[in-house]
Amino acid sequence: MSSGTPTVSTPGAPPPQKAAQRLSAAPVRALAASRLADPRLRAGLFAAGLAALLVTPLFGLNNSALLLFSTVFMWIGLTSSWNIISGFTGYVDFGHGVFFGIGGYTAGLLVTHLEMPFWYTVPFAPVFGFVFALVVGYPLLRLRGVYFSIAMLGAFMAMRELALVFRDFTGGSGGIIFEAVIDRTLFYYVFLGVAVIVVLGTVWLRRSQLGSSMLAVRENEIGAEARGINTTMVKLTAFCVAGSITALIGSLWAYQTAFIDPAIMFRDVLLINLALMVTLGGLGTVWGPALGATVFILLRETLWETEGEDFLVFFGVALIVVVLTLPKGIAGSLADRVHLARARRAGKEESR
Amino acid sequence: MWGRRARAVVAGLAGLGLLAAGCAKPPVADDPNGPIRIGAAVSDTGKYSIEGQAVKHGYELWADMVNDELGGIQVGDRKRKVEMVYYDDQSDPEQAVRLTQRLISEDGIDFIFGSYSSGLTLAASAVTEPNQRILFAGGAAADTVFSQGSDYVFSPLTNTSRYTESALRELAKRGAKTVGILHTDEAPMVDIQTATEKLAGELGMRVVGTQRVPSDANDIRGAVTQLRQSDPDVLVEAGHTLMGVLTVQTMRSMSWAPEYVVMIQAPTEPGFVEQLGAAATEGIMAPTQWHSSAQFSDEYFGTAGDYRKRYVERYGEEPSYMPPSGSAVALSLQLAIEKAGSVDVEKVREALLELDTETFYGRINYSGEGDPSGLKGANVTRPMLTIQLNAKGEQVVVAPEENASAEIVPMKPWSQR
Repeated sequence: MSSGTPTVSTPGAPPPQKAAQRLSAAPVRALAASRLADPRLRAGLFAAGLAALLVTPLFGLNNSALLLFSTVFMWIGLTSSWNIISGFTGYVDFGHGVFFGIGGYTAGLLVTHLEMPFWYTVPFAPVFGFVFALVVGYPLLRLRGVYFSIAMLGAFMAMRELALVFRDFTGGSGGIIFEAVIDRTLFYYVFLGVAVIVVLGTVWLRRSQLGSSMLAVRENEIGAEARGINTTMVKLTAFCVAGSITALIGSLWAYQTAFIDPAIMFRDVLLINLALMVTLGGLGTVWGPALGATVFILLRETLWETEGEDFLVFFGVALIVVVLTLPKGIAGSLADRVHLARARRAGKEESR
Repeated sequence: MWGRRARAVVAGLAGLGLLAAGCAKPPVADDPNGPIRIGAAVSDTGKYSIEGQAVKHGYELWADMVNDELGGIQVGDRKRKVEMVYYDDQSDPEQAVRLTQRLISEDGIDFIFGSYSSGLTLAASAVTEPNQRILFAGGAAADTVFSQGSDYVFSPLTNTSRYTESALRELAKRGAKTVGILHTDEAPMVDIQTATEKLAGELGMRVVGTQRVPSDANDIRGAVTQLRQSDPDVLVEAGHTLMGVLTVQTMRSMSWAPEYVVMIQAPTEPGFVEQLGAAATEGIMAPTQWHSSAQFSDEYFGTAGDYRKRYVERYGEEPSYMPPSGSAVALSLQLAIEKAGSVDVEKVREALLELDTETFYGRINYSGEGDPSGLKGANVTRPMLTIQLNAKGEQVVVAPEENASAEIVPMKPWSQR
């Protein structure tokens, strides 16, 4: 591999060429970003990255590293699905962790009460997530404004309490213990698969009619309605899709962890991390959530290694700096640069 | 065009390869001349941070005692110091699992000290068990942790199902015949209610009334009136501190004082006496995992009182039951390694199961395969201590008899306070 030369560092860096040298720094970056916007290059990079990730476990990664990778993949799936409701339609779901818990408990209850093998329970988790989203979403999403956000937080806490109170059924605070299969390589591929499908699904959704309707709801709901979009239907679809994906991931995570209880499956740190990661990457963008989740976890890991006990302070400061300098998130700010470059190029061609 | 693109892709792949190579470093092997490395993923931050840090203090106190006073653990013919590797799980189960995996796969550690909650411990044990590493649960007491048939999980704490045992046993000896239970609807309190009803039956006592109240109730007169009508000799209250305060206030307003009152949590919190006054709380009993006035001792930490002194000197505060629990589980590892004369996991595990010793924390005797309790790795023979608040509001150990420093005193009627 000819990667030793210092001129080639990362795919996003400006290529050494005469034209670029004459330009100032900002347009160079914009040019590079615009090149990244080339769909063929993007597809190529995606395929290459995926191929690399597919073979990575063959290089003797230890279980700890495999678990770190699958955690990143899991969060990519979670953030991307949360982004569908909160980013695309603009209805911020503050209680999305409820689906994670529902997924985990669906698996846990089917395994313990019906003695189903775990993998058979996997399809049920998204179904229950879907049904829950439908039941809760139908009344809530007919309303505009913040009611949805607040009510979802309530739904989250209510489900946690229910899981605690119906202890004969759910095991209460004692929780449910699975027959543990701690196979980090297996779950590496499972979560990688989920992440890839969810991200590609988001790419497709963003380009579809439905995706455009979601953005229309976010930008101007009354206007969207006036143009004949059934906004309730659009919001409900986004919510049900997001909910069922999160429930699926919840069930897989429960199995990977081999133990669930209400405090673990309905954990509030999940809600906070979702919002942080997506804001970091770019709310409402296609690649932002995936980027945000990856940067968030790797940054946390790195700071934790280097800063020791005080790493949370550094982590918090780092997040504030990113949000202040990139208010639209990493992907959002990158997209702005691309637009800028396109506009400049268009302007240049016109003046010719 | 493609040349540049190909180069970018190659560079991307190389970057990922480097990342992978960085992660692929093999675990550190045990060096027989170096220190014994012990890992601990505890909650330094997050919602269990108070409890997590308390357990960590217990681990630290033990490690310092071993290194500074003993010069290390005697392993065969040599002394080996201990080196602690602490990670902060942020009270997050995802992190607890991840860090436990890291301690095993990257740090190559065989002995892992656990965090505070039973949930985090169960999540961590799902990693340690298949990897055959020993998890010392210094802060887990739920029966479920030990009823899974895990071979590598050990904890010196008395299980939640036995919280009211030493008190009821002692009271049965004193002729108490009937029990009334007031409990909140929280899961651990319901567990205690179930266990208390079962135990009362075994001791020949009759449960004459059980009242369940919501954990956030602020008027429990109805429930208390019902219990008063059934006139139990012993009132067991299972709730958090505020519920304990409310129960005393309600009993005082009705001027009802049963002969004996046992409260699960409130009396061990200093705020309880401060809020109600020593006159109102006099005579109330409570179970506790450990107390500095208990008649316990060993050759390393000395008596329970010596332990308290050592703790206060180091941290400038009174120890709750949690730091001693951490130190006790660590002490049991030390004794097991010395007994096995090796740091081999299987040999140490066998030595732990054979261990039966008196310590500053009470007796440590881990249950093994086929124990009648059905629990494995639990300290099943150790009873819960019971304290009683005296006229000055101080905690005095009153049960079990062999560890007691005073006799149980019946409650005074409200008119005599």
